[in-house]
Amino acid sequence: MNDPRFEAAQQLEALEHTRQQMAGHMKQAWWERAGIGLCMGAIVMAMNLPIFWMYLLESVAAAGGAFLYVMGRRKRGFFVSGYREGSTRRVAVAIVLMVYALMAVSALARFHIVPGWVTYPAALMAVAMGFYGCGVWQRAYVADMKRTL
Amino acid sequence: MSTLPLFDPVIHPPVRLQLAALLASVNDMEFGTARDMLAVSDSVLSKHLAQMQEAGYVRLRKAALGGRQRTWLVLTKEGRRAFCSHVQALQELAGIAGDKASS
Repeated sequence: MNDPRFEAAQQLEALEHTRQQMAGHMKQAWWERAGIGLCMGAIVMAMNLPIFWMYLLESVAAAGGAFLYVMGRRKRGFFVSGYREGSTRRVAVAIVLMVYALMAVSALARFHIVPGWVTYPAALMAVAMGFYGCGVWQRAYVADMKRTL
Repeated sequence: MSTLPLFDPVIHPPVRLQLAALLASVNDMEFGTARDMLAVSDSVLSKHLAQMQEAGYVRLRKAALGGRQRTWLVLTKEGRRAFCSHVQALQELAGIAGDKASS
């Protein structure tokens, strides 16, 4: 006869194994991370361009983001929102806030409040943040999955 | 006298519990991916999904992927709630086991 307590412990163990398996499947390729970084950089860069080019570049960045979303789903067979509960949400919010700040810096350059060249390092920082931010997010997700239930 | 926690009979079978755990960690998952990760056949997964769908715990959505129509599985709010409370019940029970074992 099965001991319900032992069975419960076994089921919890199996659940943890499933979550760890899930953590192993969450792998972003370098080109996905680079793609996200480039989209972020483009959005920051666009803020200091004439209206037509600004909308054009932002549309290209949005299309790039949609492409990465579709490719990611196809490759992994699942989708995880960046804003999912847990430490991943904090990472995602931090990235978004930093991109907003860089967009603001770029917009200040557009209105000649800061020198125009400031846009370039801001855009480069956004690219780097997208690239490394994805890595940080991925590690946070894996840590969440490996954490004891 | 201690009261034992109530288990959700829909989620309790191991395959459904594992499926709920998978779906709880994503927004949606393709049928084939879930099948491969659980190492079960199409028919077994379909059978369990039907039970979970009937209970309102899982929603199925058809969408194209790679030019082919695929089924995507989503854990509903009710499903998520049921999964969390079931895990809590398991933990409570396993905790009792731990106390007993250490005493």
